[in-house]
Amino acid sequence: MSVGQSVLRIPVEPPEIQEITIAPEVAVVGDHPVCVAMADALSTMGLAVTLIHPYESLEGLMDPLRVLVEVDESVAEKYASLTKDLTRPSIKVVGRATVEGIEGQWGDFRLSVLKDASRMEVKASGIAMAFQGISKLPDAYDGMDVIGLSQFFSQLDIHKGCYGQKSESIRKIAFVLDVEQRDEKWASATAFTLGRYLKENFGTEVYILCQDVKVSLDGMEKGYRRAREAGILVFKYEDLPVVEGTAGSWTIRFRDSSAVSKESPWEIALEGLDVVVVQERLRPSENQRNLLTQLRISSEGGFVGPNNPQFLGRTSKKGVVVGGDTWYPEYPTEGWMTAQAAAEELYQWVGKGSYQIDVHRVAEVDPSKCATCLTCYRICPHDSIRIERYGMRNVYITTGAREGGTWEAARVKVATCDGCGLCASECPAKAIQLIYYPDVEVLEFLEKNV
Amino acid sequence: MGSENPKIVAFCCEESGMPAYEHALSLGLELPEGLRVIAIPCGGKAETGYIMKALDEGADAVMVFACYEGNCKYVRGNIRAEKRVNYLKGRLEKLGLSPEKIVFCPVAPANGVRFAELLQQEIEVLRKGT
Amino acid sequence: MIIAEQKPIEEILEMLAPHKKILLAGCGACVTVCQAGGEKEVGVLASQIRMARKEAGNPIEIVEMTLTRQCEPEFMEEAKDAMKDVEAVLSIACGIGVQLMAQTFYDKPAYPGLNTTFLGLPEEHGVFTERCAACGNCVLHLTGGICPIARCSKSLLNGPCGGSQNGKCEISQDVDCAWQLIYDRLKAIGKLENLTEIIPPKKWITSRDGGPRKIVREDLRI
Repeated sequence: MSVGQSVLRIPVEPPEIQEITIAPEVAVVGDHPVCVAMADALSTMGLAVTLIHPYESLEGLMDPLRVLVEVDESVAEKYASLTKDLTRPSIKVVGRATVEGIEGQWGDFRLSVLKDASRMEVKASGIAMAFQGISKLPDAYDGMDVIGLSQFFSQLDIHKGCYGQKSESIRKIAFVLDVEQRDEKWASATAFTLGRYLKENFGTEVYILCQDVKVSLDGMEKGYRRAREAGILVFKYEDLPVVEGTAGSWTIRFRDSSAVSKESPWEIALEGLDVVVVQERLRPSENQRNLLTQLRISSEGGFVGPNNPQFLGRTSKKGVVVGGDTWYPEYPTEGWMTAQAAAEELYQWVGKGSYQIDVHRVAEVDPSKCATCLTCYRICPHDSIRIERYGMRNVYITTGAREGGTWEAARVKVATCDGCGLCASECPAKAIQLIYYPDVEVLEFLEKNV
Repeated sequence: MGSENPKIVAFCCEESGMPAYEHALSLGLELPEGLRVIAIPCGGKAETGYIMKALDEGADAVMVFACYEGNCKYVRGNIRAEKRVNYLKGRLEKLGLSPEKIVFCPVAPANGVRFAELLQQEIEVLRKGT
Repeated sequence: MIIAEQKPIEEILEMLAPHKKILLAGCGACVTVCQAGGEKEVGVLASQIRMARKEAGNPIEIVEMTLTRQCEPEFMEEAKDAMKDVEAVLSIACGIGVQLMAQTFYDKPAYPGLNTTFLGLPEEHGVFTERCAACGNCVLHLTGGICPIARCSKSLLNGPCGGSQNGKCEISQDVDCAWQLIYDRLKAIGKLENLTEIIPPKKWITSRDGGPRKIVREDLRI
């Protein structure tokens, strides 16, 4: 570094430590099967778990996996034992219950739960949430009697290979994937796994139509090969396949553009199909939207995952982790790994007993300058600012804390503040400073060195 | 910009900008003589006030080095920084000053080479402008 | 609250052209909240003006300050000392503040740095929309809480007009038809019958049209 250059580094000062005690208790909330996996992992790590779900029993919670557990050994290996093992004293299961509201912060969450038409409060230091997405058929096939992939499970008898009311096994089935959503690997994995199972066990003719083959998840490369070897036909389409006919006798017409015939795509008609299964779009459920909004957790399209792909299960809110479709719709093997990562993450926040907060490495509001404009409250990525007594505060009175009085302005919650400085830079009244790195450091450096 | 060594103030976030700067140093890359580096915890801490003050004090350019979209540890700090830079560019233009004087530069932490390249690019842009 | 936005910088620079030392005064109330005239903006605007003047070879000295608010005579005290040493004040308060500064510091020019635009609120952070026209005779009880004066482009009292299409005003797709909103709201609160009553022509005398307005509260006077 030569003479003209200069550097201002963030001041490093001895931390000012405040110790807080966090009780090792968590709440696992949701209607997704991975709730069971998360509860299991968390209690194994030594935490007291309250599992809050809306079904009659844990079997109900695990039901969506009923088919895949039988059909895919990698799913079975992870999930099959779970319901039986979940009777530890450290896990309290609250069934027929939904969480309506959550207040508080890391170390001190209060969940208001509606169970059997009466309300109860559950306290937890940390929360793990996993909900199921709501399925909606693509608009293009709306009104037709085609079946969504997730519906298909619930009516499939895997021992007889038959669907719905039929007693004969399915003779010809087509899976149409990627119609509205090309990124979701769960649908590909499910179609290939189920398709191969039907072919190998019942001789069903299986056709899979997709825009691209997604096999980049654990075991799927092999799974795809096994499916091809079993005799499943895979097609690639660009324009939407046209579906005609009725149940028991569907016809699908499309142009196949896979590698062999790229220059002159083949016009293909698949006829006499018993069942047409279409990949539906999964949307965030009401419950999920409601709780994510209340907790002010950032999400993308209602799912947390896309916002934060490097840290599975992590949310922008300390002490809250997510899995299942709340994270992102995933095939159960991937979903299980996300659930494990989420549980580990939550353990870090809750399992150590006492935590040291550096109260120096945070932001601080000067109440005498605060105009309670709500900018900091809105911008904070960690939901770590509250307006104290704002209901009684008139924006025209800018003098804040008086002798023996109350704060009456925006206030930073020290335990969850990450010291990023967004609030300080957005504040239009310059009422917030980072304690460890106030403006004056930067401004003086600029005056001296530019 | 009258001098041979344009004064460049680089706000570098702790997660990407500063590591990229350190990486460039460790690779022994040549960084501009007139470089002033200011470390900030997040790109979102590059305040409009800081940027304008830097220019007011005589900086030829202000560059904000932060994380790529989707990678900000604090979720949206890099987005705030980019929005501010674009907004201030508009204000500079209305003043009759070059909007090129402020730049938002997403950079990866282990990419000292890109860090040095971006500085060089900005110097070229400033030279062409005068 | 009062919503204002910064004047184009060329206008501001023209106002300040004859001066060499000014006070740039911000305000801690409404204009802070709508991000146009608080302490942060004082710093940014001051830097901007200094740079422009330096570039033009005609430097200017700017004293920066933010008053608690510029609509109270007592708070003018805060600027008293600074005003002694400057030629003029550029106020980035709303029009009210600029006028009080002009009145208080009678012998020095007071320039407006903002255009005070309307009374409104943030629809979302950073997006401000007009809600109230300060007409002095509120009819919100008749229209389900939606102001036909401020939110209808024609200020109709018995709308909608033929220009209402798909809930939007004919002047722009970005503007909701106020009477569509009124209809929807009256329906939601079960008061659609309000629409069968004709609201008589407005007495505009309570509004700006009657001249500058004043309220005297004898019970409050000291």
